[in-house]
Order: sequence, then structure tokens, then C-alpha cells
Amino acid sequence: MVWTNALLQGLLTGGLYALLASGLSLVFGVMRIVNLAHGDFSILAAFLVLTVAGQSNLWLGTIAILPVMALLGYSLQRSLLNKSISMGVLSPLLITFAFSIIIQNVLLKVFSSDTRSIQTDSLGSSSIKITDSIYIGLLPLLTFAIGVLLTLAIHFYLMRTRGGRAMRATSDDPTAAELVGINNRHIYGLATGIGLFAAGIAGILFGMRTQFSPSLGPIALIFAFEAVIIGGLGSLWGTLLGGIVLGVAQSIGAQINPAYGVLTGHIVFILILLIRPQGLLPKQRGK
Amino acid sequence: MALLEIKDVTGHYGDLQALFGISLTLEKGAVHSVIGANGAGKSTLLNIIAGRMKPTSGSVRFHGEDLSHVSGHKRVQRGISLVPEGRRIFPSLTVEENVKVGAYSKRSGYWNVDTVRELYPLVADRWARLGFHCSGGELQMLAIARALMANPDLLLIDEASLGLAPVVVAQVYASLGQITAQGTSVLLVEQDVSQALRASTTASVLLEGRSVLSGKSDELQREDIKNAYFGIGVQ
Repeated sequence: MVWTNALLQGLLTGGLYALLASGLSLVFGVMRIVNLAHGDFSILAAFLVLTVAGQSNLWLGTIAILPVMALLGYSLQRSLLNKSISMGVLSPLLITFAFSIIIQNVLLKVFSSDTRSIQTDSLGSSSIKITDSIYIGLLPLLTFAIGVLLTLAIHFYLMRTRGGRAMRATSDDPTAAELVGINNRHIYGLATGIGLFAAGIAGILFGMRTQFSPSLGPIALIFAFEAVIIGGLGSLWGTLLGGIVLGVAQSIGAQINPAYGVLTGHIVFILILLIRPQGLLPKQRGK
Repeated sequence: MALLEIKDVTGHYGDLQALFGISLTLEKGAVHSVIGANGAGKSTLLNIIAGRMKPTSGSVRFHGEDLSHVSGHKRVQRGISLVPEGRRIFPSLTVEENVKVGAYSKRSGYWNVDTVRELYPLVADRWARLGFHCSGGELQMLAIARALMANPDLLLIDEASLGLAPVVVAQVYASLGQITAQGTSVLLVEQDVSQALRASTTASVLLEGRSVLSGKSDELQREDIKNAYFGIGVQ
């Protein structure tokens, strides 16, 4: 029963990692760039909600901040990252690394290095009883559900809409996409906008579930990156699976010894890199 | 007013000059073929018209508008579509999606999913197949179908017959008549001289970036074309 519980809790934690990773996966899938500031943008969203929620309602604050994150992503892509893409593979890495440092230091200056958390009243402590020894937290369950729903929503957008089709075409061949009238710069902006929207959701839910501080962005990035790699680069459903595998691995490791949780996740990540470097559900060539 | 007016266009790849003062005029509904050997500058000319490459000097006017500051994707909205060399079909999209993405610019006109399926039954037969899995002939027809979905006033086709079986080449060229019947002009780049002359109303021969011969396709003498193509007696 203890192991079933660990598996269940890991599964739910995986939903959070999948949320963290979905934006990273989309941006990589469309532009082949890794946003090294992805985790910091998540934490930035958590701090922004903390600030806004202090003056109004938490959920209204969340609804207000998410479009801001999307707009921020679109603007950064159009103003800086699009230029860097044309300068080679290293430039976007360096620029997003610079974003990471800037965000961390601005947050440090404004909010200090103290750890914080977003208060959710009863949501954070409510749980559903499954058996006498297994309880599912309402917030982790909500996080998992949002993770699955977001993956479904992005999948629907990519597969069923005109904009999504254009995004996949641009991902395949940006030059050919221009030839059918697609503005690649706009599409890239949209991808980063969606990416930061997802990062924002993940950061806010992360802030509701646990304590966070300005320096937590790189750790969030590592978990997101591991989920993307485990699942398969550029594969959205693979990312969801990768997040779940990472969450379950950490949970089982922590069950063996509380100090082994994160370590077990890293070991599973390395094992999958060794055994199946393309990931569990890789994006197929031609798919 | 001519549909397309190209005046004294020069083009460079770094220090290498690929085009030397090319001028060309295309009327609405006409088919013009640009003939030349490898490296003659044919694709460079198409890329400049389509906005994939900036000319070093000279002008490209379409419907009387100077296109100097019009980017590639906006030229599609203006009515210029390019079928590029190598076809550049989106491999992860199905044939259906490849066709539909061609209508991204939302230009209205005769061409839609039904009319391109009718034009190319082979494309219709492969509707659910991934672009990645299409053969050379299917890819060429799909590339033209995709370009037609933008309802262009000017269709640029780069190497229509390259690497295709004769039966497929015949089908592709047969479709050009149906395309021009809808008022679309075609600028055709081709190495196959006979095919190009049969399909076009006017033609020009490029040699090492220079236009060395031009005129009505049915009036150009084979010997003159051969000499221009190979640079025999050309100063």
C-alpha cells in the first residue's frame, strides 16, 4: 500500500513537471531552441501572482498574470530572440541564459532571498480519501488535471487549427513556410507566448504547492528539461509521460530514503539517456 | 500595365555576382519560360521575385507596385507563389494539410481543396498520406497544388520536370493549361528546353547570369537557343 501511495503521489507530481516542461517542449519543437530562462519565467509568474494576490483575489490575480506572461513571451521573441535565431544556435542559448540571470537578480532585489508560498486557503490542505492509508491532495490532483488538459489543448491547437498547422509547417521548414505566406517571426512569437503561458501556470501551481525563492528557476528548468528528454525532444505527449516518469521515480526514491528522491529522478534520467536516448515517445521523423 | 516588370536586376551571393542586369516583362495570363544550364541564375531570379533574396540593384514591380520592401510572406498575399526547386513539402504534415496550409494567406479565387483535387487526382488519392512518404511526382504535383491554394496571379515554378518520370512530366505540363485558363500567369524555370518552349508563350535564355536571348517561344530558332544555352558565339 505504501508503494501504491508513492506511485500515486509521484504520478501527480509528474503532472506538475509535465506542466513545467510543456512550454519548453513546444518552443524547442517549433524553433529548436532551449529557453534556459524557462524555469525563471515560471518563478517570475509565481512572484507576480504573489504580489497581485496580496492586493486582490488569488484566482483573479492568476487570470490576470497568465496573459501578461504570454504577451511577455511574444514580445521577447519578436524583439530579441528572432534576431538571435538567425545568428546561429549559440546566440539564443546565451540570450536566454542572460534572461535567467537578470530575472533571478531582479527578483532577489525586489523580493529578497526569503522563501515564499502562495496561500490557497483550504485548497492546499484538502484531500480525497481513497483508502485508509491513501489520500490524494486536491491541489496535486488539480495540477495533474491542468497538466493533461493543457497538453490536450496544445495538441488540439497544433493538429486542428489553421494557426497550429502553420506552426507545424514552420517547425518542419521555415523557408517553405514563408513561401506559403506564413510569417515565421509571428509564429515563433506565438510559440514562445504559449510557452511562457504554460510556464506561468506551472510556476503559479508550483508556488501554491511548495515554497519558492528567486534562485529556484534553474532547478525548475532541470526538472522540466529532464521531463522533455525522458519523453523525447519535441514530443508533447512524450513530455507528459516524461514528467510522470520523473515524478514517479522521485517519489519511489523518496520512499526508499527521503534523501534519495531527487537523486533517483536524475538516475532514471541518465539511464533513459543511455538506453533510449531518443526518449520514450520521440517525435517521429515525418510525424 | 504588365503583371510583372523586372528591370536591370542584379544579384550577388557574397562577392559572387549571379545576375547581371536582367529585365523581363510578363503580361497577365502569359507563360514565360526561363531556360539555362546549371548556374545560369534562373533560380536566383525566381528567388528575387518571390522575396527570398534581395537584389543588389534594379527593381521588381508587380501590378505596378515596387516590391523592394515587401517581404516574402507578404508577396504571397500580393499574389506571387513559388514552387521551389526540391518542392519543399512539409514532411510531418499530411497531403491534405500541405494543401490546406497553402491557403494560409486567405486569398480568394478559383482554387480551393476541391479544384486542386480535381486538377491532380494523384494528390487526391494520397490525401491522408504524410508528405514525408510521397514520391517525386506526387511531391511536384502537391507543391503546385499547395502554391495554387494561395490563388496566385503569378505562379513561379522552379525546375518543373527535374528528376521526374516522363509520364509525370507530361501530367505536370498538361496541368499548366488549366492553371493559365484561370487567369494565372506562369514563370517557368526549366532545363528541359523542348518542354519549356512547348508550354510557354515567351522565353528567355540565361547564360552565366545574363539574358542572352529572348522572344516568342514559337519564333525562337532552335540553333539560336542552342548557341545561347551553351554560350556559342555569345560575347
